[in-house]
Amino acid sequence: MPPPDIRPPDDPLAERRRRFEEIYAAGHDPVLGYALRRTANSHDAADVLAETFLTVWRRLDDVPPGEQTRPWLYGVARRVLANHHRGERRRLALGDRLRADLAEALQDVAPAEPHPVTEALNRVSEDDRELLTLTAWEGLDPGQIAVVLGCSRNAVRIRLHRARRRLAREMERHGGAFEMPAPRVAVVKGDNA
Amino acid sequence: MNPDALIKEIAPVTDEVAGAMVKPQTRAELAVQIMTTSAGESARTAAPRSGTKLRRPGRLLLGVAAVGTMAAAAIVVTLVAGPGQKIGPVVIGPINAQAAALSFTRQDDYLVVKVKDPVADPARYRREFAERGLDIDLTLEPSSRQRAGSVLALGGDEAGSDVQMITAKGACGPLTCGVGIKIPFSFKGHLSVVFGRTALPGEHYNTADGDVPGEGVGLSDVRGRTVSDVLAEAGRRHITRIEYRYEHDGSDQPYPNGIPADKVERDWYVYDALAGSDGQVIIFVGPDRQG
Repeated sequence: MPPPDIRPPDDPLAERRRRFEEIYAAGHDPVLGYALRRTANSHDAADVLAETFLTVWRRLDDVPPGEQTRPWLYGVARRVLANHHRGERRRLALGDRLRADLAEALQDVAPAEPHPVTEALNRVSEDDRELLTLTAWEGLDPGQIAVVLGCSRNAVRIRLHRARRRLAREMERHGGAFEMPAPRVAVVKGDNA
Repeated sequence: MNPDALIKEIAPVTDEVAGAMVKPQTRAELAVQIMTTSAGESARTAAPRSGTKLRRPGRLLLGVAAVGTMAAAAIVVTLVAGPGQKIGPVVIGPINAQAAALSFTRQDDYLVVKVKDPVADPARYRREFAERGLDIDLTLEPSSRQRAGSVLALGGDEAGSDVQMITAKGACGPLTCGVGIKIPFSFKGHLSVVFGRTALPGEHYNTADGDVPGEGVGLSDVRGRTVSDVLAEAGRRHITRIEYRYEHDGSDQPYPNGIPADKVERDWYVYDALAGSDGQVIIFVGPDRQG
């Protein structure tokens, strides 16, 4: 095994690159996963990934360390995706190859079967859906969701509690088979908001 | 079952599956490309907007809305067909041959600009745009036949964000690409646009990053060949500027920023080749036959 290349530690650009690479290595899959769970469009997903990390590179000093990094990345990805949904698509030349990879990979992915939970999730508001999926898919706690959405932890707790209740109601109304009394949901999660 | 567990079950993909969709070299390349964009520039929004100056094609962000509302009247700029070149999707009427380098024709609410002479001096295009009160820098860079006629790069000042890209599926192989641009008649800003034109024999391509693997250097079908074999072919084609990227077991460690040429063994395998800018070639190599 050849020795690793060594860069001078006091070079500010090298330090910048090192920090970026660290965030990129840890955040690549989570950001792409976030995007692909919310859009089946390979172009949008590729742009979300490329734009999110371009923002990281340009705003490296703003990226919070440790546990806060991942929610911060989701916050950026969320804004990029929202722009896309508004039709403000911005094509980055640097996403070309990524788009090709994703288009190829997504060809093999079978479209999701209709599922009562998916349908219930599609019937609640976009805000509710965002909170519910950030919790279940990204595994974020209310404090981390607060970083994504740029609001307070308490606000997240309250809104999440209500979102769960509304989802349970939707599922009861349409799904029948799912027994999920709304009050218990909040208790189980220890959410007393 | 609590709602979180139920929702979790219907997640379309896991992070792991998503990550596996991206080839290791694509992953590595994107990071490198991002780090070659100007650093330290503070972006006010999640999506960096225009204001970018045109540097090298392919290093530039296409800071342009591809869809959105438009003024009814607009200027459409597409590349005219040359040998093997593709034309934009706009159907164009009789050519008004008033200009040597560009042609301007009126069609419905659009002024359609076509490039008549794809190897003209860019100053000529600029002059002809200026005669119509437009501050547009149009250049053509040598590209593969697939990329010819497509928009390789677009830049300009703030007003540039009003410019729309005309895209055509399949015009660049598996990629969607811009085959023209639409500029509102009211456009008062500065715009730079780079179209691809079919390279002359022996001419290096100067296309965007992420071009079709190997295409830009004529090194197609490199996958699985040995380094010495590929280098011999590169030599025959007078390709001398080569950078290497290392891959082993799906990882680029310990060379995340590329492996120095003197560390690359001649009997290693080539997984991919990518057109770099300035006629430079990036070759992905590693000791195993399979990347």
